[in-house]
Amino acid sequence: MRQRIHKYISVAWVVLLASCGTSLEDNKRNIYNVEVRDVNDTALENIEINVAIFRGMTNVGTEFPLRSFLGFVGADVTDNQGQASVLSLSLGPDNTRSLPYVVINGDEQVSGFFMDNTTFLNPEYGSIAYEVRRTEGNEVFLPAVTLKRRATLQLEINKADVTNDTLIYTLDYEKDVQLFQLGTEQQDVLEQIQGNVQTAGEVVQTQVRTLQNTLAMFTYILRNNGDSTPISIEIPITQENQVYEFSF
Amino acid sequence: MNSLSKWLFAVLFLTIINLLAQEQVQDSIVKIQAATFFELHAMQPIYYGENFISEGYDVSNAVQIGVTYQGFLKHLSLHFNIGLYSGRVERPEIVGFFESSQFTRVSAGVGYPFKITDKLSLTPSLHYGYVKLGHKLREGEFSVLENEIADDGSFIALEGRAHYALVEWLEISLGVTNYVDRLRIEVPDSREQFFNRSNAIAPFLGVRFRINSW
Repeated sequence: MRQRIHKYISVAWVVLLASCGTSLEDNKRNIYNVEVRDVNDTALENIEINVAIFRGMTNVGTEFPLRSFLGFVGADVTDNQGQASVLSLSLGPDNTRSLPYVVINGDEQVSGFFMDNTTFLNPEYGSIAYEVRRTEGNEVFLPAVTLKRRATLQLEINKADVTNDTLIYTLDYEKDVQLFQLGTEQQDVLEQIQGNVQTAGEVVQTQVRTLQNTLAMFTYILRNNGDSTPISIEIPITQENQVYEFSF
Repeated sequence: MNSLSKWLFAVLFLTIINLLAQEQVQDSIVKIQAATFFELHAMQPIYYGENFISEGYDVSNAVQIGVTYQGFLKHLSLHFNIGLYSGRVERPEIVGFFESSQFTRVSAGVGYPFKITDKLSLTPSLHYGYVKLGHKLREGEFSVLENEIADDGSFIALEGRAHYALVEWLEISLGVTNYVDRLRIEVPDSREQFFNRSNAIAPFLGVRFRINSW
């Protein structure tokens, strides 16, 4: 219930922010230098990079980002070295609540409220966005970006008819859309789902969007009469469609 | 040779040509009559050199309107011009995230007209002015950014034109203008030259109307 209220407030906030215009600065351009490689350190060519303006609170990593998309101000593609110098327009000095985002292989949804609806311009790879502070100046060098291939992880939990245990579980995994703040230490952007299985003979199936060459973490507690220690299992994501089955 | 030297050379060259021409046709020169003209020209700016306009735009035809006062300090002419044209951005990755731009030039100049025959006159002139590029953003489906953004700067222009009088109050104009723009766009040093200097040559054809003379 609380989450739902939070969600409605977030949507109202986004609509309110989006209804106000934002000006761009005359006589000014910025450049964002980007280098994109895959996990084998091979340069990725023709990866689209967009510079978008979002307005709203900075809350990278939270469940409900209170940001609204205002528009694109720059676009380019990587060359055969995997590099691009993206020319961008600049925000006006009075727009203190708006920030530019460098979006690699994603569209306007990537940093906003409807992040899960992101269109991947190259559907084989995930998307990464960097929020750029105004203090960065008019030429910005982003850290080397490693794009990982997308994958789906299907988790299947089977409860045997004979057990009375209740399974409480969480699944932590890397999303295929990741958001970082430039200048802060990069961290894996983990997403978490949780649930429980208590009915005898029940089969729970869930599917999440993640990235290859990452680790998902399945953590569970089997609860009968008392608490028990959580147990974690690493699930390496090594293929496009990864299936993990757990029975108890 | 830097651009200032080129300009000085060009001005000097044209002045000498004028003086020589005037010397040669002195007998046939009819004294320039003081007059005021209203002008209307169609021109085609052609940008050249390595700059964001020549490499990123498809520039349209231009319309130039102006007023010329002939007889200033006996021999000179004064020019006030407004030029309007637009450009479609073909390479936003090197220009900026625009769909198109509206170019506006406002300038004042001084010329040295001389009459070859009763009907034909030539006027080289030098102009200084203000240029503005008003841009239209490439709007995405959800964009709410305000669509008012511009670049501006100044320019100098060297022009040569010929006028042929059809009737006493109407003349045909044919000429060419070379613009050297200095825009004041703030960009990283690596692209400053590319953005802040542009050159265009603009042949034009039009008419001018004699408003009054004395």
